[in-house]
Amino acid sequence: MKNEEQQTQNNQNINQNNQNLSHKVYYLVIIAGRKQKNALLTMLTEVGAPLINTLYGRGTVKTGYLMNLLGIVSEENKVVITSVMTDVKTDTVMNTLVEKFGFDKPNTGIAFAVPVNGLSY
Amino acid sequence: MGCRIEDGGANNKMEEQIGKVRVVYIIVNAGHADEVTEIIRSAGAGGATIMNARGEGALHEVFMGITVDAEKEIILCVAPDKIADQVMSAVKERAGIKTPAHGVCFSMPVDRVVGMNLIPAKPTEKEEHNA
Repeated sequence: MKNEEQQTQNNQNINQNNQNLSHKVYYLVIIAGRKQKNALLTMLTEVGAPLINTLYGRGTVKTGYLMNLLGIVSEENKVVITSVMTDVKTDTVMNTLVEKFGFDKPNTGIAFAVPVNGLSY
Repeated sequence: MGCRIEDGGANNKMEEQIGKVRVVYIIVNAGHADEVTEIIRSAGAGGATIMNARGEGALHEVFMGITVDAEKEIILCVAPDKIADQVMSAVKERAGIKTPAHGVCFSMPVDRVVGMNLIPAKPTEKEEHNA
């Protein structure tokens, strides 16, 4: 019985937290070449981003015959870095990605943020 | 409201032009990612990122003390709202749950994006004439 009460209380707390969230927390995904992994992780830890996970992936970019011959091929191996952070930190990271990592230029990397509407820890 | 695009001020009209952006996650059996990539390209998506994964069903299968998992691939693709819909229906039609690819896909709204040119290229005169 006590356990049930505790559970109900926990659920209420989670619901309260989630109501307070209302799009203020984002799930940030950064996809870039693997060479940039260390620099990106350093930047994220400096910003204070929590829950950082690193995955490996590969891109699907198609290059023409001539470009391939000349070796002008964007890196196929990618790193996918994910993190959950507040909107303020998301803005900071996004700006840093443009300013320091040149994400506004083609073939450098992409990043996007998905709103989180539930969080428990 | 559309998503916010951080492009260093280079293309402020992009947000107005593309509207909402979504990220589409497609989960398929291993070995079918390239086929699905072709499908989503033909549906209008620019590119995608493929990740390896393992699937776990409702029944946890163990064979001689070793967990048996289904090898999967996840295809991640960011696209404007309209193209995301086209991608999802193309995947359902050509690599859906009833096909060997066993594709399942879902999409999520994207609020902020950086590093992508999501404006579709203008068709050439020849393409317009053919259309």
